[in-house]
Amino acid sequence: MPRSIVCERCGRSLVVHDDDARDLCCPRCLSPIRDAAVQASPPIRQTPAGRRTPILQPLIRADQQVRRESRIQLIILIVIGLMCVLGILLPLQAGGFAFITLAFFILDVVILIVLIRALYRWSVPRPGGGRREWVAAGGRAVVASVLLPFLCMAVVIVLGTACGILVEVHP
Amino acid sequence: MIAAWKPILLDHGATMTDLRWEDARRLEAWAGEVRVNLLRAASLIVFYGYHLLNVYVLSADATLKGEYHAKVTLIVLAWALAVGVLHVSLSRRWVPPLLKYVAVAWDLVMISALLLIDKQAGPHSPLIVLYFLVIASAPLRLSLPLVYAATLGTMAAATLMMGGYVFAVVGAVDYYDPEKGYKVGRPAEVIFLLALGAAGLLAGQSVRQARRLVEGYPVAVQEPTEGD
Repeated sequence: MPRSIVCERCGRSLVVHDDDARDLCCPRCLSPIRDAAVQASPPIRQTPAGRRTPILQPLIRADQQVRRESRIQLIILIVIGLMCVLGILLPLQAGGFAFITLAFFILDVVILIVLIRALYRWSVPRPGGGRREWVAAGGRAVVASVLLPFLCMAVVIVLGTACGILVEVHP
Repeated sequence: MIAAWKPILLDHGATMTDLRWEDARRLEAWAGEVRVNLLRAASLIVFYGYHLLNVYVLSADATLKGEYHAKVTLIVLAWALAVGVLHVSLSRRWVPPLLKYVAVAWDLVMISALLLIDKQAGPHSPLIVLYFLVIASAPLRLSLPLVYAATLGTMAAATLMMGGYVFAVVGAVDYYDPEKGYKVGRPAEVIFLLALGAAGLLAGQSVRQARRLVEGYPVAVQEPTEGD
């Protein structure tokens, strides 16, 4: 039964046709719709003529597709990263590459991945925080984008120096 | 009686069908951008995977392993970085109107860079067909201006790439030297640009038809009642 609700983010009036409102989002501002808010809203009375009008349901909804593909995207990004690492290591290995340098290179990449992931999680808005949380999350995202290049440089310099010293001591 | 079907004009000048289209388009354009980004990433894996296989397993050509391989890896890294930025933006539901234009422009820059890294590549490389993929990806965002921008942008990028190849990579003297074999015939250039234009027209038509589907048709088949 269709229900009428107001979007918590943009304030638009929305009609939800699906009883199960999980994974739905506002078509105007794309913010998620809370299932509890839909269940709490009054149903819209339908006319007999309106009841006969079929509602076209897609095979998979856009927001469900986005959620599913975002997960696959992360895996693919990791695979691309590993392939690029392989692409850099293959010519180095062909030119006589020290094992210790290779170990430090892999350590470098792993630390950078952990760092980027931590900064991303820090800047993601907390659920149910409302507009103020989105603004704060935007601020955190800006800070994270400024911090990220400097932190990456610092990690590369520290590990590169450590690796250089070790190679000199144990050639 | 069949009522006359016409768009209802709202106070601020927009029609009801305009709003309906915009609401449907916004959601599907977001899903389309995510799908394009996913396919972009998957294509990078497949194409770069084949490159690695070709350079280190299948081919004995030593020239591929040096500067050429380093340049290809650099371009793939830059492209993957763009995929990552788009992923963060889209998964945070931050979809500014300019995002799709930036994504298309970045794709065109990357393809052109890939074609200009080697004298043997350029217009002679099979990678030139990647320009068509940029046009093919435009209708998924359900935006007619983007289809126009992608089509005209691709034609401009292909022309600039050609200019860069002639004057910067090969050099005009070598390029026009018939014995060197770098020259591409004028008919081939024109036909390639015309084919890009035709692909753009087809892409635009699919967006127009999607809009018609959303707006609906004034006549609907009434379902039979239980008594019929």
